[in-house]
Amino acid sequence: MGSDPKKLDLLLSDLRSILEADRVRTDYLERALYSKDASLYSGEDPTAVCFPETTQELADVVRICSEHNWPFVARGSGTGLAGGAAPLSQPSVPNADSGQKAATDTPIADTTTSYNSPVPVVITTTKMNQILSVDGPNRIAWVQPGVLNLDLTRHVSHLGLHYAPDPSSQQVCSIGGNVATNSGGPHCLAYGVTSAHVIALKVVLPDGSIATLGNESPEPTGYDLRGAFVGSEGTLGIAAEIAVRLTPNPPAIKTLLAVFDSVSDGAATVSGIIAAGLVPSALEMMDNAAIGIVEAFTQAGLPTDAAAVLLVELDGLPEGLAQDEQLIRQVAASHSVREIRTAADAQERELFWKARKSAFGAVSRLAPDYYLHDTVVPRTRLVEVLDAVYEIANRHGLKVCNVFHAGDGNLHPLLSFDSRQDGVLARVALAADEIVRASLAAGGVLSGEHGIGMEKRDYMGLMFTAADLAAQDKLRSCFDQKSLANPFKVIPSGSGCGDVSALSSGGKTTSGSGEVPALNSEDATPLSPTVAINKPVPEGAWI
Amino acid sequence: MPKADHSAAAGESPTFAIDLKLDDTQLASCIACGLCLPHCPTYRVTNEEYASPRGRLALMSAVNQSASASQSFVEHMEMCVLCLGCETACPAGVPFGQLMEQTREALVDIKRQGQRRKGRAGRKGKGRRRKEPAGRKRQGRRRGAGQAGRWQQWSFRLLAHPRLLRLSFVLLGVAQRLGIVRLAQRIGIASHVKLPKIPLWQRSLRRAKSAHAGDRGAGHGQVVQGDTREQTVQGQEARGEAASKESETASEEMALTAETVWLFTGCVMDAMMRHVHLAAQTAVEAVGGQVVLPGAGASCCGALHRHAGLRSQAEKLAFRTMSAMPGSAPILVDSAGCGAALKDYGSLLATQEAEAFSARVQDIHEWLATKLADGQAGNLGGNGQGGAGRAGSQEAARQGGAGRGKTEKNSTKVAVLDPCHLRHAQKTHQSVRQVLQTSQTLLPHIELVELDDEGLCCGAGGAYSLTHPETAAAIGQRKQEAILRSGAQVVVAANPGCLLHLQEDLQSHKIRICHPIELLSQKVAGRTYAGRT
Repeated sequence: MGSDPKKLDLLLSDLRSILEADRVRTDYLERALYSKDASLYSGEDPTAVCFPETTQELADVVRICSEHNWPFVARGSGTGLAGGAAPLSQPSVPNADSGQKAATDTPIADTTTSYNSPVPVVITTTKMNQILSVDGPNRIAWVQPGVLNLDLTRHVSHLGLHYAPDPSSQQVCSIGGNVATNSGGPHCLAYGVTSAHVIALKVVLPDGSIATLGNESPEPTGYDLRGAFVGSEGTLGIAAEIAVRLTPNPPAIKTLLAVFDSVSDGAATVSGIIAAGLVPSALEMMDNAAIGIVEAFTQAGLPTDAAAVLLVELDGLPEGLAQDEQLIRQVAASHSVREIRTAADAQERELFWKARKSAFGAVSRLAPDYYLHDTVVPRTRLVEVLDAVYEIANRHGLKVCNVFHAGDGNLHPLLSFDSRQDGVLARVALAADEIVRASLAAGGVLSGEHGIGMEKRDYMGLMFTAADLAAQDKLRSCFDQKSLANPFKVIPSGSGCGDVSALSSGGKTTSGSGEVPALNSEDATPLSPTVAINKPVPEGAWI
Repeated sequence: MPKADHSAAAGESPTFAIDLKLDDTQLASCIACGLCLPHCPTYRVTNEEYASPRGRLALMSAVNQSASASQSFVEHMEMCVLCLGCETACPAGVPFGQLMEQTREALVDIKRQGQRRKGRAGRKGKGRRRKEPAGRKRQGRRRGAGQAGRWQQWSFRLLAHPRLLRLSFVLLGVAQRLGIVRLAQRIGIASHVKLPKIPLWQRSLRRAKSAHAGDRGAGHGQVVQGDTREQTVQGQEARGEAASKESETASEEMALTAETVWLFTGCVMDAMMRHVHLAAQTAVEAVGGQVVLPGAGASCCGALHRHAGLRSQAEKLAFRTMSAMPGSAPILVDSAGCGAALKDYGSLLATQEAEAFSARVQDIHEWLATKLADGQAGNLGGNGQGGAGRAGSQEAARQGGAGRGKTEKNSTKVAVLDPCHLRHAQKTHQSVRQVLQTSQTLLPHIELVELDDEGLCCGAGGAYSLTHPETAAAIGQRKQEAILRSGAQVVVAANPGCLLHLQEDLQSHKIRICHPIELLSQKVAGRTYAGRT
């Protein structure tokens, strides 16, 4: 990680000319805190941590990084689960002991190549936490990226509005981070994921210029760059101001808890409900292991002896709810449901949701470490993929619990282990790898909502053809000609990341050229040199 | 050691060797999910990882492994308010409070051994850089952790000496009235510390007349009136000894009546807010109880010492406190911080005796809520025609302006502010609401409202508002905004720290803040919440 001390001093003094010294941190202890997010994936200690407070400051920091050819990584609340905000100076995961990839059968990258890239600066948006404006009648709010998801909902609740995407970490995750990963959440089944709720963005492009993508009109003209930006995981720039759609609170809500004695009955009920033409606002499932751990934390009164519970939420006009509930009861009954409970009041409803949303934290009651997976499979194949997940975890001697957005088919197998045990990480890595492959084989996709980050980067080749990846990389290069924004994430190294490709072929960094190495779209062989494709993935994989 | 590589990156502080002796398994139980972040007051005002529970645990973990720490580590550890909001929020059940206390103990040991590297002179920029990131403007002198340690240890020692403490407070109160304090602050001494107005004179507590609680009744306020000695400072100083003799006889009598309870008086609470003790006494008597006062031995619970890592002092005080309140009678506490400390003696001393003692401790609201639920409402549930009893506080009477002139149909909004040591440490914060709700017949014109900040700390944190005034003020500001949003005219908080910390700011908004027990006792004594009827 050859960073010339002189270059470093110049960079830091330039950054400190923009931000008070207080907001450019270099203390080794503090930098270490910004080397990882909430996942197991650890990056490197960033060169510095910057805390801009305004759009202009953010743009200035990015501009300085760009002028110094210094990579940078945007970070929100640090609750990502795919290592997206972890700074990397090279494609491989540096401390293999805490990442799983090192243990996979295929090496991540050719480690013999020397990447003469400095460790990125982390640009933290947590101090950009102002709600800039709320337009009640038009139900639009402009917010800074560091605003916490639940804080926004609280802020507009007096208008009878809320912000619909509600990831489990909604109390702490930031809107900027939600935009970066295109976050989902239980209620995205009916309301759509983040992309459906972001109307426009003012973004800082990787060269430090400020651009507005999308606008408040319902039918914006021109290319939908807003759509491209949402979910780009900080590789196309950093959102500085975000216009989000606010959703009216439903007139009535009904929350049901259906208890099953077998996981497959629960899964079949999920398919049955959707097939019956009903789209509940949320349709979540927890298996026995998950019920046990969340009940220990929340005491929500969940049946710890049940094989699975479904949490079904209906909203709308009170008249319609009774009918919908009847339908759900019928479907569940046809799949031998044990009992169906209705949340008596708002308090019990909150308790049910607290139970659901704290699962991934409470899992450490089983063992100190966890690996939270995120794949999506077609609803109709939930049962078989779940069976495969249990089988895989069993075979590797790992505890697994499943708590997931069943309505979307978005699986979240939680592997629970103690990383201090010898060889356990290798087993976790193997299991994780097999789960991804099993999901893809069933016609699923790599990630539902956590993003690709470091975690799934090297699996991209399983999902996309060379042409697909080249198209994505071309888009990235258009935004980020110097490959400075969140390098070595999302798109596998070797698939055309400007300077990386150049370096690996012995050339100099093609800074600013914007040239993408020629990729033959006819080429049927996988692009990524790092992942061997074992199973064919159907064209236009199921979404 | 990666340190050498990093020191190039400017602003590094010198390191010193330290063994935190933390349990690896406890540290590893943090899975870095971050759900604690929004519940941490210092994270909320700084939005920085090092000021969050997750960050602190990561730092502890790093130092625990490397056995070396830097001055910035010390600062980060001292910045925690120890409100324990993170423990309530943590789905993984990380024992954060315990880990933080152990870390501070290790830091105190290091200070004592004088093993800390000097070299502070070379870090001028460092100290300024971010002592109090919450305050945008950095001014005044910066204290090093060592200085704070000495200052803290000296003043904490004072807490265990009620007479000296009271004397200091009186001197400070006089200085305050003569304008000396304002002058001192103007020239930069403790300029960020918000000092509440210190009472020069306090009514004494009524001594237990007999172990028989029978002769209270409608006019109990008057009954005890005769028992009340109004005291000067000197009189107050004599109280300690008198009470300690009394406690011996009282404890013998206590076996006779189950309704006899100890009222823990404490240090700052007794020196500055005795009117709350008086109110508590009135409330206890109103439901048929009898208050016995411990002697000077129970003059400090040791909570502040423990939070600062001064474990041996905390242990000494715990022993003293325990021997001052023998027997099996319940021990009632009207200060949430003290209550949490007393309830934790079991784990502090790890003896059966301490555990048995801790099991007797109840917050006064907890005890009252049980009584009320059992139908023993006494005067708290009936009418409050107490007459002329002057049980209410002078403070309350003075501040009555907020609600005065309100008619009964225009109910007064009362916000319940949960002290962290009631909500997160003792987890009995609902009892305050239960008591106030059950006494609705007594307080019909009160409408309880909730704050929308999920019990986030107000920044008082024992001595925190003195050691970290800027951060404490920024945290207090958040709480104040939540109170303003709630539309409350009165705020009740069952902890002296919160009361003193927020008093001044809320006064400027014409919002009254008092202890919940004051609302009750004033009514019992024939007053409305806002003054005389």
